[in-house]
Amino acid sequence: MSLVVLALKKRNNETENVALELVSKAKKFYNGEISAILLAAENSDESKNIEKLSQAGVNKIYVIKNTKLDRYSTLYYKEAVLRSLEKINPDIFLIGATVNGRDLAPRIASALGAGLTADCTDLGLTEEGKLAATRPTFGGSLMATILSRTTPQMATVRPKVFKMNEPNYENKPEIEEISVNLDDVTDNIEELNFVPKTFEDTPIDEAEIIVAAGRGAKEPETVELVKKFADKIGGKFAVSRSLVDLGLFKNDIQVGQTGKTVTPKIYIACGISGAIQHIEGMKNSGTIIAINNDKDAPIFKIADFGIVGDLNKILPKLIERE
Amino acid sequence: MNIVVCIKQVPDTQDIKWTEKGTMIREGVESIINPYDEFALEYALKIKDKYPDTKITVISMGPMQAKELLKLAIAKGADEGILACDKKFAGADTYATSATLAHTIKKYVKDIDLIICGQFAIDGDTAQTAPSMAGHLNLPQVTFVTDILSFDEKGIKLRRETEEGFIDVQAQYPLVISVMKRSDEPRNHTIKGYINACNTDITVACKEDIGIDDNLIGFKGSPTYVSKSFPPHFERKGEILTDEAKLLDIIREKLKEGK
Repeated sequence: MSLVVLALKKRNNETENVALELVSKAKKFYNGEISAILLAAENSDESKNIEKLSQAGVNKIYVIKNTKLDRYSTLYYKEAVLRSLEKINPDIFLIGATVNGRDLAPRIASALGAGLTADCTDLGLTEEGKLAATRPTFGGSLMATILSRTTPQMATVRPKVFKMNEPNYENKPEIEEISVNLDDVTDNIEELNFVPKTFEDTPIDEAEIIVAAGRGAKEPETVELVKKFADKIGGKFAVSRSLVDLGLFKNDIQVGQTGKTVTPKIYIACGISGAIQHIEGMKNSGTIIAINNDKDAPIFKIADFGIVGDLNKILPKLIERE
Repeated sequence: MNIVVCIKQVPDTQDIKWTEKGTMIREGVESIINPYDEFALEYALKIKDKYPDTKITVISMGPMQAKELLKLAIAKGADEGILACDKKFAGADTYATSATLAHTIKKYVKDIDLIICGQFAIDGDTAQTAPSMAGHLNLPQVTFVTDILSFDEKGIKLRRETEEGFIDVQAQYPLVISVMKRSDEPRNHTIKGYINACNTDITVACKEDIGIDDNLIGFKGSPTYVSKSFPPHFERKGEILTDEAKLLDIIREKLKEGK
């Protein structure tokens, strides 16, 4: 019985936090061995990543080494993972649903013929010890718990869905290095250029305050008011899916199941009705405030505070006040 | 060039109304081409603009009504449409869906250069079908594509967006890409395209036509299954404020408190 978390890395070679969140969650529901897979170039210094994974509480770390693994590549990473899974043979295999995680996980699953449940919001075990992966379905109006008929049972989880445990400095996991041979694999997708995101495009999931506009704020004047209000209180502007579907904004500032999962200190929903697919992306926020003209909008049921009324009247008052 | 565009029929979420309990009212909801797939088609059409000899085949798996959406794609400029349609395909998860699409493509389209998919389907949100299909076809893939920067008959230059930034890559054919939405609108159908669509038969392929194994399709071929479903539950107190000024005080207070 073992559970494995794939720890993908950022461009600066640091393990993505979502891997540590997955280990933290696994510690809560899984009693068997919990290990992590780290992929690295032959000469790469992995001590910091090993330290972080140790502190998250893994029992074992597999460091998979090959010169071709210095940077993320779909085909090299896929093969390296598949070849090491032959040795590790886990029952459960979890991957963070970052861009690269979402690129890689289905590729691994299809090669293994394994079931993969995307973007889970909860993980646990059934009485028989199978992975119970829960995610919203039918546009988010229903939660579904999905099981897998095959092994490994795979699931992806978005960043920030689970909380990271307090670091355990005492934990001393076993480290096993595995050299994989990738001589027969070629990835002819060549990276030409990388442009990092500027402060302006700092992702919304890192913001302390988020002011989000929904379908009730779709008119350009209202959008402007929401943005102004966000500026006033030092928040990041975000949107719900309907404004992205209308083609008004890009998906990178969208909160919800298809967008980002956010956990700011304060989340202010302006003209957002509160479809479950949206709520899934912000329900763990510190304080949730809703402004909506429909007093029956579901958003009020999951908000700490609400104001019922017209955004075009309320927001200017809030913007003007000291 | 030989391009395949994968299209999914989805309910128009703009039409969706919610009951008081927060459940979806599905009656009277129209079907549309998944918006991300519209952009997939638009990229294919841009390539055809430059290389008019390009053949674009649109493929979907779904019920017979999905023929209409394939016709619509032809009216916009695609050349052929194939619908994988069989009762036995029902209940497919992403693995079985991508296996079905991959086998349909293998059976009906030869010498493919490029397969373009939308990054997400707005009703399923898994983003798994394209990479999984690329796996079944044993082709390289580039996902989360925000732009095609340039292309010729030898290869294609793409921009991919990750959490950290934008990565430009040079890729060779054959290749599977999945694309994000853009700010510019995909084109509409033309009169000529409309006439063309009326005169073009959509190929409807059942399980036997495709020649795919029973254990790869539908519910039976799906490694995942739903064991239970339940309404979501996460309520808070929802205190309604009548004085909006109080809101600013709450914001100040909460910021001091920390999470």
